[in-house]
Amino acid sequence: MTDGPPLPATARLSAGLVIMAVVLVSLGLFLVWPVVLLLVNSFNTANDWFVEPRQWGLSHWTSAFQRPGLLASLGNSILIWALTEACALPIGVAIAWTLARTKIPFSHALEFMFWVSFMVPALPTTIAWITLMDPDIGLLNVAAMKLPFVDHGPFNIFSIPGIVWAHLMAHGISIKVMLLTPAFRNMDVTLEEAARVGGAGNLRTMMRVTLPLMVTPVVLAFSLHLLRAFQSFETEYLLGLPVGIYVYSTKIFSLVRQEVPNYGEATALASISLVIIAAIIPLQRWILQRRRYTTISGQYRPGLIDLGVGNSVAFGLIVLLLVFLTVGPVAILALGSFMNRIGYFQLGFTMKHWALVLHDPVFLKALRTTLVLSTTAAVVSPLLFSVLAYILVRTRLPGRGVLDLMIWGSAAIPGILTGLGLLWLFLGTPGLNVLFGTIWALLIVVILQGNTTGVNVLKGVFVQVGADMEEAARVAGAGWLRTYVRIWIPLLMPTIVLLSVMSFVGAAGATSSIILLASRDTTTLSLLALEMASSGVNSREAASIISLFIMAFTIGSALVARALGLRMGLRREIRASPAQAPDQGPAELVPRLAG
Amino acid sequence: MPEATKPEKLRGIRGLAVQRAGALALLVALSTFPSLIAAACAPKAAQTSSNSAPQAAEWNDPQWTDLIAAARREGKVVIAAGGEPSRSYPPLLDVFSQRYGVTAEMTTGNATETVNRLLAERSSGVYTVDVGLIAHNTSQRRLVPAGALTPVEPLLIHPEVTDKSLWYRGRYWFADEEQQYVFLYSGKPEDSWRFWYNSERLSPAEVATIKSLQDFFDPKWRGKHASLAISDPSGLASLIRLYLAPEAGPDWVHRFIYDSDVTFTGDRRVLETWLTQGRYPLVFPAGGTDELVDLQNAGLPIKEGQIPKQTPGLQTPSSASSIEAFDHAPHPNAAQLFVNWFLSKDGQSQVQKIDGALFGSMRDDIGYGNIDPSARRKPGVVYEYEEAEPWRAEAANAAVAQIQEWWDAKP
Repeated sequence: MTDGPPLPATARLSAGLVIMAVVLVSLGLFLVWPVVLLLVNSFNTANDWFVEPRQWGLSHWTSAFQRPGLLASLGNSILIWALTEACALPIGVAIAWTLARTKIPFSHALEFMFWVSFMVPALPTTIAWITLMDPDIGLLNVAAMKLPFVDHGPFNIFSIPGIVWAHLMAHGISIKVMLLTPAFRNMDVTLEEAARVGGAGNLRTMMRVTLPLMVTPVVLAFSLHLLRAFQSFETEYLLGLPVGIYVYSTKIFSLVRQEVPNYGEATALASISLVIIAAIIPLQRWILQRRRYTTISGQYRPGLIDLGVGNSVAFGLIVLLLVFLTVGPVAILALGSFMNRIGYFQLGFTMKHWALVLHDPVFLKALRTTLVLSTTAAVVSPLLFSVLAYILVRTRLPGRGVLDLMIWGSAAIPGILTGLGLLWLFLGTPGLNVLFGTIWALLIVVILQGNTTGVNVLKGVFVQVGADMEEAARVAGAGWLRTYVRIWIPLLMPTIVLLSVMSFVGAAGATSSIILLASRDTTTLSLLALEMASSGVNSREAASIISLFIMAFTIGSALVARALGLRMGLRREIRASPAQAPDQGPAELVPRLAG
Repeated sequence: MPEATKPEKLRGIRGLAVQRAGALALLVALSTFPSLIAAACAPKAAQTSSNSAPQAAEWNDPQWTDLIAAARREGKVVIAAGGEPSRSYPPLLDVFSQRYGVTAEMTTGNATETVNRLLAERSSGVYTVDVGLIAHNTSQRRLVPAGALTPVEPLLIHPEVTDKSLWYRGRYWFADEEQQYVFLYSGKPEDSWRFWYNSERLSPAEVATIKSLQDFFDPKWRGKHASLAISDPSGLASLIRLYLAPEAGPDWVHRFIYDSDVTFTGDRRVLETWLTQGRYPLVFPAGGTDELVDLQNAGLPIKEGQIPKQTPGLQTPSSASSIEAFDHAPHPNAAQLFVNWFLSKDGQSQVQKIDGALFGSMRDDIGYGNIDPSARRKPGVVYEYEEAEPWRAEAANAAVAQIQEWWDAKP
């Protein structure tokens, strides 16, 4: 791991084993042990885990899966997921391809706006669409009913299609665009050019060459969304409940939100994610072993396709979509913060919610804590995940299968449950208990919380990159660390910036995973927003204001991250004309990158 | 790669400089924005009203002055609160701190999570909290059985507090079965079951047909009736009251949950929107009554209906009704000082200022201030306070278990 002369093979292996052991123990402690604690305790049949003595048995598991309406809710979850994915995946792929591979104007600004839409919390987006598409009083329906021959509003947000629509307009499309655009940008144009030389048009080239090359990131995005299908609940709760549409996640949520939380049954129900993970891992491995999908090599040459008039048409359509994804929800959030009560224009406007938030003595503390947590997560998480992804993809160290399993397994249980596992971890582990109640405990949690997405996104990029550049650097005498810093980090930089922003968003918005660990002194803006929106305080307007602050900081950090990332990384997004020599190979690249 | 020309390089450097300056300016703007807005939103009058209240009666007994000195040495008192008190009571804590030079800290979050955390801490031998301002239902159902609390009465030493003649009906009021852990300091008269309706969607004649609780099962209300789910503490508290009420009882609650086509939500805002927009024009039971009153006063088409109770009496008005003292308190003297002050005339006057119309102190000597006349105890009337009866805690716990079972089995 140093920049000295290369170590003998046996020394390298033993150093690798030590590193792997440290990684497995550390991650096992923070990612797997809380889940294990929950799973073990799910066999504790006491009704109140915190009050009654432990009794062991299967009652939570049997009663969980005998809950009335469980199968119907499972069916609803799958239906909503399938419909959302059927729309979001092609739209996301098409937009990512357009942004990355064509000469569409302002492609980077448009891509950034998808990041912004990802930063908008799902709750205000859903509320915005209720305001527009409520079948009785939705603004769009009211407007439509003023037309001749229209008796009933055509839109109904309180329905399965309505829930799917709300998902698409929240994060469904934007997360796909965020994950896939860097992958498309990483593609070598040579393969597409070969297809065109062979007589294929743009569409045929995309279907027969580009998309098959993108199978790794596309399957990854698909898998991650599959995992979340049984965990997201906010949208379904707001839109499904009023019309009796129950989904699997709302069952879990309601169990934990009882006066005496039923963590046992909730854990049993949430464990269904383990079945999904059992299917995802072999699929991932199969994909990772298919090295023929290498798209970045020493001969890497990007290039952009000119769609002619299609550039402007695509630009217009994407801008229209972005208006739906960002302008609407942000406007609703901002407007709502000045309303006496969100949704009631007749009650007028006020500054009192701003005064409530800004005069709250906890606000400034929460602001400080949030910035510390988010900035640390934004810097540390992507680098840590990149090393883990490197170990999984580019090394032959033993234990990689276990590491992969750990990383997927940590996503098996939703945050609303793992929060309790983490509380037990920090209270019951000697050495860690001194961190309880301090910001350090929160830091560890927020740094690691996006690991499944982060590591797997980076795995996808490592698979795309050929081995020749790393080998050339080694041949030129660079050690592992130097090669990693000077070759890999610049190559990964677009993805690292992306993950940095996602980590910032994740840390700034973290609630359920840290709520049991935070004290009054270490509370965050998101926890404060949750408290403001709770039934005790019932000020959704104040929560909107805090969301605006979180968004402002996140957008600011995203701008900084992009600026720094573009400066530090290998700038591959060549615009109108390729600026990189077509024949530039590893011999030319490595000396420049490796110094 | 072609060599960039000098002007291109200069443009690049300038661009980078502008980008950096922009990023820096953005960071500065973001970090100063809250304070600028705070200044703009600041009320004109200085916020010293909390100090203008009458101070606690001077008492120079050595026991009291020693307690203050010991509390000052401990430095602080940590208070666990959930829901509304965690947000609205900090001004109260400021007054206490100024009176005695002891910092008062309050936990954040909702009651369930606060209690989960406390109980998990205690099971690991970690004791962080001195005093509780947690909903009495949660306290007697979870903190008492877990052995987390210590009796309150032995802690009371201030003559303003120990003189029981200053308390309603000359006694203390507790919510727990043992009558010693969960001290009820608040209760207001309630002589009716209150429901809400949308006056544009329902005619007065239709509403007039609701004369008893059984009338909610009239088939004409199917698909029109919404209610607060038991995930909201008020929703659960309402169903417990109905379960124990002679005019409703277990059968009524069972039918209400299973067979009345009522749509439940745990979100008060959603329930409020359903009512005001008419999606569900009838709401019973409702939470956040004071907010619905505000909306009604603002001109929204909603009205309150009432059904007389068979057994009127006092009722806890909100989650902020009881105070508890924790066993193994890390700051025992500060905890004792706080409990005494909180229950004193001064402390209860401060609470009345914050809780407003909802508050009805069990002290008889603080007056009613701006409290709504309907929420005041009438002179000469002897009110029963069911939630403070020793049998009530066990009965409520049994009710909760049954309601939860029915709720879980609901399709």
